[in-house]
Amino acid sequence: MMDGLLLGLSTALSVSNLLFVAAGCLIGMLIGMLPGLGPISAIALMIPISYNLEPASGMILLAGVYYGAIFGGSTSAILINAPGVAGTVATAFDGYPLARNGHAGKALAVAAYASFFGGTIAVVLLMISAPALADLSLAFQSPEYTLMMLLGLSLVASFTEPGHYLKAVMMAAVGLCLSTIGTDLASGIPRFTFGRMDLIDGISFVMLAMATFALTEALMMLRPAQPTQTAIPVIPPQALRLDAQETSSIAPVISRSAVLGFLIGVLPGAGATIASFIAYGFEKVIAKAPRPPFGQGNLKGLAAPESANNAACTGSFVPLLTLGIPGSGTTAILLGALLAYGIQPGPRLYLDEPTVFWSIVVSMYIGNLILLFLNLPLIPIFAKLLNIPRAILAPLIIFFSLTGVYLVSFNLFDLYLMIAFALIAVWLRSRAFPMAPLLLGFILGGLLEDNLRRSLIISDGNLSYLLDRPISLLLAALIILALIAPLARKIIRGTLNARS
Amino acid sequence: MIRINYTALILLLFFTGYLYLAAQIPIDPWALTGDFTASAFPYLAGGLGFTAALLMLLTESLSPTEQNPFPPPQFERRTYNDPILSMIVILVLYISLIDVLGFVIASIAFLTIGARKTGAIAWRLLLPFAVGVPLILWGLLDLMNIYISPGRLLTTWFHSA
Repeated sequence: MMDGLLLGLSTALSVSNLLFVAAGCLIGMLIGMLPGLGPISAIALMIPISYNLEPASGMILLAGVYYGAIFGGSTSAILINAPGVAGTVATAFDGYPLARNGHAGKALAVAAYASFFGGTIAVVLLMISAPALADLSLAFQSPEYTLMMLLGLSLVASFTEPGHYLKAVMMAAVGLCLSTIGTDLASGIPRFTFGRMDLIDGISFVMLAMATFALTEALMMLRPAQPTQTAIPVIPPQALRLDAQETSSIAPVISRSAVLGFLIGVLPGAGATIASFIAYGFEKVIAKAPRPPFGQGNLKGLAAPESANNAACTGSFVPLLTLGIPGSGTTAILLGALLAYGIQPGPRLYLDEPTVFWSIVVSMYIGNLILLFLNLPLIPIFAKLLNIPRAILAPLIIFFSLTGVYLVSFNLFDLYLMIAFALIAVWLRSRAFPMAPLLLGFILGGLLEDNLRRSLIISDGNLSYLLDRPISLLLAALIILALIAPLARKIIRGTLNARS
Repeated sequence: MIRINYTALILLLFFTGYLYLAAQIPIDPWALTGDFTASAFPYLAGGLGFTAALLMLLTESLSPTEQNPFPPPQFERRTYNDPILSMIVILVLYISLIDVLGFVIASIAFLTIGARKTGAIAWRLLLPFAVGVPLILWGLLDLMNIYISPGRLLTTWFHSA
């Protein structure tokens, strides 16, 4: 582990990579601060830029954007009660009342400290747990990979609201279908190309990610029913200070929530949103006569979700980097970016690409530091961004989405296709169909097909070969568990409701 | 009362069409019966989607309720001021003009018209943003040696002049 850590330090601490992580945090924070734009949109917007970089530098930039976007989401949640990211909804519970009571600076400072310490504790936990998981790597062959992809797909249930399971499955299936467009690599036969050369290489991941997230978000901003914008007050730098009593009261909360957030983040599908809600709920339950009460500007109520959501972000890198399973929509996009670099995340990443693996881990820590020391003093300036009129913001996001795709391929067909996908995505989202499973299906589709084909060729078409070994059986059991979990949850909730 | 979820119905039609096209994929000449051919995975993906869409359509059509939560689409006369559709039209025009006017001029036009259409903004606020952003981006791309075509119009004019 020490060798890897030193390797990561030497890569991440190069001047160019330090600049990338700083730029990533800064840009992520700026984008994440804008209501409606979360880390998925932020990362999607940055992917075209990252393609021109070395894999390690590109991933460092994207990881910085991820952290920055989560942190930025807290700022809009605290200042205008409009969480930029779902993971910062719980932040608004106590953050916004604090800001309304004239303590906006203090609330932003607590959010920054909690994010920093939550992220730092989680990075240490990631360094300890990731190598242990990677030791399994040598046991993984094509059947295990096939089942791993199926496990990733079976987790679509957790990407969506309760009761929308079939919608998520349908969206994952649409993603799988889209992944089959283009030339079949094994036989060289074109599929679903309709004779167009533009489709012979398949659909671009960047285009699909931009269309379903960034462009869709911007188009949905244009709907007439959007809430009106609130003016942001001026925050003096001295308002960001905390006294000793406040610091000692939130320190244990941050530690507890960080561990909790990391553990929840590791579970594929759980993510920052669930982590922040559970941490908030946990602190609320164990608090004895809190003053002020939770929901009315309690610092603990702000520190807990902030620490947990940052720790969960780090935790979500564990299944991504060590198993190749994206635990959330955001990590699904990061998985796509890794694949675009020709890097296969999964059990062998730790061994085959140690530079990428360890530099991402180290850059997470550096990202946390940068968020604290560079971005905290800039919060009063960034907060003014929230005053940008929507009439400028929406066309600007649309412009950058289109430009991002155009600059990758210089193909106008991709732009027309992007608009068509965005229009369909707007229609589906207005009917509560989630987009993250679509992207997950698209990313995992190609990998699943390759590994399934390889397994069947090795076994001469015998499907039982997939379940020949103990790891495969364990993965199959997890798939079944993931598939029946929503049903079990529904039954348990129904029973509890009936009793109450 | 029988309810129809039209979104599920449309998706069901999509998956049916997809499966039909999957059946049209030519099979490799050397493939044996039972081989994992180019159409095998599309069958799996389309089949999964078809099953889910059918299940959704059936379960929501048969579940008892007095009110239809999925009313059929209303084909009443729409206003021509739908902001999303207007923006889509502007986008299509923008993309088709990139080749003719060039990236920078088309982008300036898009940002100006897009922002004016989205909301009434003062020109003094709009112009620096609409002109500045494409020019800064163009400058950055030029620094990175990424070539952006100036457009047919400018190229023709330059050659003729």
